[in-house]
Amino acid sequence: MSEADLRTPRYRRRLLVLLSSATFFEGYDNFVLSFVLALVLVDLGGTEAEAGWIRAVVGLGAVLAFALSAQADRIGRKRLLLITIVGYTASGALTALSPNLTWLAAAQFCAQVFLGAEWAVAVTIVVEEFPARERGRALGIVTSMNTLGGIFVGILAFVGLQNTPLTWRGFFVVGLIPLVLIAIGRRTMLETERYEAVRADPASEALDHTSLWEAWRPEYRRTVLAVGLLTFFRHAAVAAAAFWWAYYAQAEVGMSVSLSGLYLAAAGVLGAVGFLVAGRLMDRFGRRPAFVAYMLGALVFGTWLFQIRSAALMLPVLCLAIFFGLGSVAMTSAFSTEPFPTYVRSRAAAWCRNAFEVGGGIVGPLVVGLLGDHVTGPIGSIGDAMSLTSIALFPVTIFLCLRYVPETRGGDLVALDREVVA
Amino acid sequence: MRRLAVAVLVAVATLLLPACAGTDRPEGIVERWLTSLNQGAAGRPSRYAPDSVSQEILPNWRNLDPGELDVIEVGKGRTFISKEGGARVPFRVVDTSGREVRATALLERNPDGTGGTIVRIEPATADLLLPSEGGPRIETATPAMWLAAASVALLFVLLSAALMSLVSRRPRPAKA
Repeated sequence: MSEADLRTPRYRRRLLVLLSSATFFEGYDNFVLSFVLALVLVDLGGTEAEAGWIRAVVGLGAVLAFALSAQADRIGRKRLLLITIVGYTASGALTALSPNLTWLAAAQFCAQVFLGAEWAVAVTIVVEEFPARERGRALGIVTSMNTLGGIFVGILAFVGLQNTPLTWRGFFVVGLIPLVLIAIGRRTMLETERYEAVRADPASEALDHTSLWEAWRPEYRRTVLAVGLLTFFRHAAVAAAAFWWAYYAQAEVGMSVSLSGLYLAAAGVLGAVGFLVAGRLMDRFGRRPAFVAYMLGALVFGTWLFQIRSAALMLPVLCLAIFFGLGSVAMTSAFSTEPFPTYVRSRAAAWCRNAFEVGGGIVGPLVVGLLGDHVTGPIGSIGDAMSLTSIALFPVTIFLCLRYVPETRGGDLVALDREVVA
Repeated sequence: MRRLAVAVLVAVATLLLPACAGTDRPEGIVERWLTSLNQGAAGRPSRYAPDSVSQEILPNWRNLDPGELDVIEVGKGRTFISKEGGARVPFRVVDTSGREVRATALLERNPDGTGGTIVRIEPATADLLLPSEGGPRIETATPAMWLAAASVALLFVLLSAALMSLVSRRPRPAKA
């Protein structure tokens, strides 16, 4: 049986489960450290200042992930996905064994490198292995698992994993489950059809499969810059809202810690539907109209959310803000992969995600914190600072999308690759 | 193009410079005191209030785990004329057992003019309400700030367009 015959709908369903599991644990691992940090400081001994340094060191791992995720164009998607899963599972095991904070910071730094690369390669595999008419739906499912993984941490805490003899280490032991994925993936997963076809084509030997700068060649740089800027502005606003909402609810609305935690978990589950709907809309109406609709929704509900003083009204608006704000990741994942030919796709996605998005994730929360600081900030209110930031950042994403980002609904990747090697 | 870039930079600087102006709000100091108190000994609340004042809000706070306070709410305060430049700030805390303290913090400026110290806790008064009681928020953005945010949005659009214009669309390389 040829490999083409093996790519049946059943194989794609299994692939979707494998990739969804990988992004689920990526979301889990991204959230778990901040969740157990207070317990870690008590157990290993440390101050808030040291915790801040750990956070900074771990965050640098996302920058290094850029170089690793770009390797998918050189060594293949399947191999890199399996490497990243093994890498972050091993990093999780080392974290669980941490005797001190330095060890923990180093292990989590490594985990971040593998996690960042794992996300990028998972999205690339979806784009290359699913038919054009199903691509949006598949992207919606795979990206939604990231949010559900974060919520899973809260569920484990709710059932009392921290109260077991393992305490905080138990959360990282759970992170070893992806090793099961390796057992399944090694035997059944195939290299993507597009990657194999391009590598087998003698004409592609003339193409540069290794340079990180290949994505900035004249024929791609316009799209890379447009998608990168769009990703930067979108993520700056969304990351700031995600970072500051709990603080706003507790310090400026007067909600309790437990109630705000409950709201966040409930809204996260409902908001995850936003990814799935985004996937359907992308396939039906196109990537650009769906993205514009989501950004308008994020602008309206993201601005309103931080003006609400009523705990009762907060929950539905929080659900809608998460629905539109986080759900738009499905579209940006398509923007950063589909317009590019296979030989350079992973490197282009690495630039868009790891270079621009990580920058937005640092700048957005920082600016809101400086503007809204209750003692020294020029605005003096986190709620108002966040609403103003939403107004300042979301419109430019709509402008960039409508004017510079190409529509790729139903795009033929084979034709795109032929055009390059011809 | 160079003139446009300079004009954009000047506009950005004009909008951002006022944002650098800082202040020292007494409400923020009270909030930081309560937040640090909620972190136990590691929070070092003595930076904001003497131990006797902290004990009134959270007795035996040095030996408690972080997160003892489930609700911390601070409202808009009122400054009063004194040589110290003091202020009265309403606040409310609820601990994890449900015990609520609703009071007013009396704050005095530090001798060097920066920051302040909470010197006394007084009973809550009807003239200083919390946001959850219908009182004003600590601070609200002025209409000029909302207008500035819309202007910044326009500025980002112009900046993006200027950046994109530097990356001209070029045809794919001709076949070898």
